[in-house]
Amino acid sequence: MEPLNVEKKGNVSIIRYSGELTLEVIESLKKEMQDHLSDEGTSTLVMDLSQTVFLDSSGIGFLVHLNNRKKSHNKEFYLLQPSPQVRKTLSLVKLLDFFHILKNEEELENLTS
Amino acid sequence: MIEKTYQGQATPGSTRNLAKSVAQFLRQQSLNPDITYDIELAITEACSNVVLHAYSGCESPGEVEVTLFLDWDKIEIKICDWGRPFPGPTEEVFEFSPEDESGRGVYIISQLMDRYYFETTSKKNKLILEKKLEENLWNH
Repeated sequence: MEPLNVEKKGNVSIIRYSGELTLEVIESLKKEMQDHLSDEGTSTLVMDLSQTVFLDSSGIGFLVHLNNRKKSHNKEFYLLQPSPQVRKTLSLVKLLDFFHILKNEEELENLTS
Repeated sequence: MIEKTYQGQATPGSTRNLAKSVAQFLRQQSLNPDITYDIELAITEACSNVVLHAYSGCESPGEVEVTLFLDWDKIEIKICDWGRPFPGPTEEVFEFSPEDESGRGVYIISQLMDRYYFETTSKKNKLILEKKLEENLWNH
């Protein structure tokens, strides 16, 4: 699994992950992200998918899981700059409009400022 | 026609590598990258179902075999396993809410391929994927 890079800006956690989001890595990712998901001080979670070159249905399930979990705690979840491959897979299952998407780093700056 | 067979264990890592190998071969043949991505994704979904369902509960992972038959105007891919047979999708397979965290694999295959069907003969389960290839998809 590619390494996770976690940034904290105020009460926003930004997860930057450049690998594939597939069945192969989901369990490890869930374990790695456990601390950030349960972080009481974080009201918003942002997943940077700009460098994610492959997304399958297990990866979609993982993103939906993060979204469900944040939503159930009245917190927010955003996808940052999903790559063309990620956009394609999400649009196949009609989820492109389901997620809150930040189109660029400027929109992320607005969120964290 | 070109025929190639790839074999591996039914584990997430091994089957993902099978799909990557097929995609690498198709790129070498100068097939359009977008269609190659679609085929790689469909094979990944098919193989994930083998890992998660065909051999679930088994003590050790079984075998998966991916065979491609490539013509310039079509590709057929056969994904075989020797685990629990899958009877084929029901209509419910295509009914899910956005909040569902699983169950989209066969739907994705249905969206990417022109035709797909399941067969079981002599304990060998096959999922056959078919896709037409237009002439302009080859970057020759």
